[in-house]
Amino acid sequence: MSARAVVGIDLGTTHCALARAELDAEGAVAKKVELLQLVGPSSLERRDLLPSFLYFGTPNEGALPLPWDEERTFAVGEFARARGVEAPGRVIASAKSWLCHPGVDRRSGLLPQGAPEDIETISPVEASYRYLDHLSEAYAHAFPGESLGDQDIVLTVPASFDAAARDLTVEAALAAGLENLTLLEEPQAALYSWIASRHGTFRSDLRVGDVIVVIDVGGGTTDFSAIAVGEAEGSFELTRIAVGDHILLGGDNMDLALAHIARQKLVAAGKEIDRMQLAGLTYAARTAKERLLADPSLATAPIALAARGSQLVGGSLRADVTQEEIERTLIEGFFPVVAKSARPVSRARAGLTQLGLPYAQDPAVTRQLAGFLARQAGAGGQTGSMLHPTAILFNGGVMKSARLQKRLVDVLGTWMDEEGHPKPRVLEGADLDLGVAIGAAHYGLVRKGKGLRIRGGTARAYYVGIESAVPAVPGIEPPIVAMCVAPFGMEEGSAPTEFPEELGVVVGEPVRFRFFGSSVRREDTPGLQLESWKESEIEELPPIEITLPAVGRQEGDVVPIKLAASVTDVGTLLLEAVPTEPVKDDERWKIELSVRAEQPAE
Amino acid sequence: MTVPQAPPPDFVTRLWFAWACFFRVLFDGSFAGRAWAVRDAMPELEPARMPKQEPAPSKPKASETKQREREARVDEAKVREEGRTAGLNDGRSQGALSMLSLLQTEGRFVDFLQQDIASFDDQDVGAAARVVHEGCRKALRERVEIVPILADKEGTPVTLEPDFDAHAIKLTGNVRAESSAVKGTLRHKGWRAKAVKLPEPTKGHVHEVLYCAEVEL
Repeated sequence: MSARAVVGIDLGTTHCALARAELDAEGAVAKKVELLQLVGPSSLERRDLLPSFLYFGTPNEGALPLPWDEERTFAVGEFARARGVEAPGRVIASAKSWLCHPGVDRRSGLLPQGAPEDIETISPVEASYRYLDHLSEAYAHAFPGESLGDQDIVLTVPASFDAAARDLTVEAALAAGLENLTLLEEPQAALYSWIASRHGTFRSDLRVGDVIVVIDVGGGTTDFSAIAVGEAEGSFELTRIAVGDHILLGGDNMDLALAHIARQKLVAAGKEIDRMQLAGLTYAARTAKERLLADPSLATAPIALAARGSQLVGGSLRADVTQEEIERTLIEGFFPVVAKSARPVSRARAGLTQLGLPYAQDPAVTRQLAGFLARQAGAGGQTGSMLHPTAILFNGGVMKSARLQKRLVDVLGTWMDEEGHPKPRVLEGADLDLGVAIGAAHYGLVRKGKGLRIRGGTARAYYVGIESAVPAVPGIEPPIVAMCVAPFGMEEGSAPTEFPEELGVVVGEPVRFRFFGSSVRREDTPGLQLESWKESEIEELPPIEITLPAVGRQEGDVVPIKLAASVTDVGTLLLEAVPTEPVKDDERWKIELSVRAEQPAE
Repeated sequence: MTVPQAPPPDFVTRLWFAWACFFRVLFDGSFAGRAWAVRDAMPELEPARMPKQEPAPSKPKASETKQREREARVDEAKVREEGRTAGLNDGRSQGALSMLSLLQTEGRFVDFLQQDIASFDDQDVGAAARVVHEGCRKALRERVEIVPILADKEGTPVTLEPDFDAHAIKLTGNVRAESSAVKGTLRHKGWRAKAVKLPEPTKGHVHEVLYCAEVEL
C-alpha cells in the first residue's frame, strides 16, 4: 500500500509528538496529531504530547486498557508519568538517554532502574519500541483505515547521537513496523519547522553567509547545532556544519533546583518533606518558574504543596519563591554571564561511579554553549577562536521564556562583539513544543518535492583503531593508530568510501576493533592514519565487531579484508567488510556497531 | 419561607454555579448567611429529581408543575427502592462524576469540600485554597472552554435589544414588560460554556470512585 501521508515523529527524552502532512495534496502542510493515551487508571484523553514514560501495572490492578487493547498490562503516556512519582520502581523514564549511553549494554534489560522482581525488565531499545508502538496505535485510532507503518516516516534523533545510537533507534522503529523510515536530526527539524512557518518569506529572513545556531533546551537534554546558509546556482543552500555533544541538562534540572529552595524553606519552618512531596514540589515549582519568568514585576510566586491525606486544610504547605531566587538560581545558575573563554567545568568522578546516566556536571548552558562554539571554530570555513553565528533559532520547552532567550542573545552578542562580529539575531516564530515533529513532517514533503533542503551527512568522522605491531611490554598498552574509515559529512547516496588498509580477520571468530569518532576533524579523508591526537578531538566509541561466516572458507583461516563505509537510505552509517580475494561476486558483510559496554580487561 | 422553583439548569451551568457558590460562601459572609437561611427553609433535598436536558422555555402551567412534582415523588420512591447506587450509571451523572473526579485529582476539590474548615485560620485555608484553585483552574480550562456572555465591563451601562436571550441574560431591579430596548447596568458578565472535552472512560471504569484510596508500601 502506498503512503497517503508523511508523518514526523519526535521521539523525545521526556515527550513524544506526531505531525502529519498529506502527500499529493495541493498546499499540504504538516499538522499535529492528537495522541490518545491513559491519563488516569481508567480514563483516556487526547493530548498533543505523549510523555515518554512507561508504567508496568500490577496483577491486582488488572488491565490498563486502551480502545485497541483491553488486556494491556502496561501504560505509556501521562498516566505512566504520574505513576513515576508514586511508584518509581515500576516506571521507565529517560529511555532515550539510556539508548545513547555508551557505558551500558543497550540491548539488555536495564529498565526500569531498581525494578521489583515481578517486573520483567526491558532494554532501552524495547522501551523506545513501545513508545513508537503506542504512537502507531494512536495514529491508527485517529485515522481509521490508515496504518502508520504504511506511511512515509521521518523520525528525529538528537544531532549528537552517534552511529550506534542511530542504529538502535532504527531497530526500535523497525520493530514497531515503521519501514519507510528516514532519520532527521532534531535541530534540522526545528529549522524546517521554522521555514514552513514563514510561508516562503524565509528567503528575506535569511542571508547568504548566515550561520544559524540552533539552541535546543528541552526537559532533559541540551543540544546545539550550527547550520550555514550558502548559495549554489543562484539559490539558497543550507548545510549543517557542526553538532555539539549530548548534554543531559534541561528544564527538569531547573524545576528541581527551585523545588530544593522551597524545600529548604519548609524544612527551616519545621515541616517535613518526603520523597513524594518533593516530586510534588518540583511539579508546582514549574508553574511558579513560568509565572516569575514571564512577569519580572511579580515579586514572589507561591509554591503550594497539597497534604498527602484527605485533610487538605491544615496539612497543605506553602513556600514563596522570590524573583531574586529565580534570578540567582535559574538565570545566574543555568544561564550565567560568562566570558567567551569559559568552558564547561567537569569534576573528576570519584573512583567507581554508580551505574547511571552521565548527567552534565556543569549546569551552565552558557558555558556549554561557549564550549561548543570554541570546539567548532573553523566550521563552515570560518576563522577565529570560535564559531560566529549570525542568527539563533531556539527550540525546546525551556526556551519559551523570553527572559532566558534574551540572556542567551545578550551573552552571545557580547562574545561576538569581542570577536569583532555582529550580534546574532533571533529567528522568530518557531513552535517550541511541536516544532520538531512538524519540521520532520515538512522535511518529508521537501524530500518529495523541491523545497529547500538542509545538507548534512554524518555528524562525525569515524576511525578504526589498529594496534601497532611492536613487541609487547608488560604494563604498557601498545600504541594505537586511528585510521579514518568514514569522513565527516558523508551523505546518503554517496559512493562507499573504501578504506585502503587491509585487515586480517579470522573466519568464524568475532574480531573486535576499537572504534572512534570525532565531531571536529572535518578534513580527514578515508585511509588517513593518525598516530596522535588531542584527547578532546576524538572520543572512543564502543568497539566494532566483525564475524566472517565460514561459507566457502576454512574456519580459522585469516582472510584479508578492506572496510567500506556508506550512508544508508535511512540515514545511518553502514560499515562493511569486503574481502580482497572474494570467493563469490560482490562478497561483503555488514559490520555491527557494538552497543555493549566494553568489558574492562580482567 | 418559600423557595421558588426554577427550571433545572444544565450540567455545565450547575457546575459553574456550584463553583461560584463555593467561593462566595467561603469569602462572602452575608451571602453565606442568606444561603444558610434558604438551606434551612428547604424541607428536604430531592435527590431523585434529575434535571431535564433542556430547560423548559416557558414557565409551566400550575397543573403541569403539580404533575411533575408527582412524578418526582414517584421517581424518588423508585430510587429508594433501587438502593443507594441508583443514578450513578446514568449518562449525565457519569459526566458529572467524571468532572468531579478530575477536579479532585488535579485540584483536591472534594477533599476541600469534605473537610470541616471552621477551626482553621485563614493562612491554612489560604494555603489549601491555592492548591485547589491552581489545580481546578487547570483541570477546568483544559476541559471546558468558557467565555463571558456579555463582553462589556461590569458596572458599565448596557442596552439590550427587545429580543435578547432571556436564558442567558437575567434582568433584576425594576423589571417591567418592555417592547423596546432596555437600558441597565451590567452587574455580572455571565459565563457560557463553548466546548466541553471530558476524558473517555475505558472499559471497566468505575465512575463512583472519584479518587483512589492510597496505601504506601
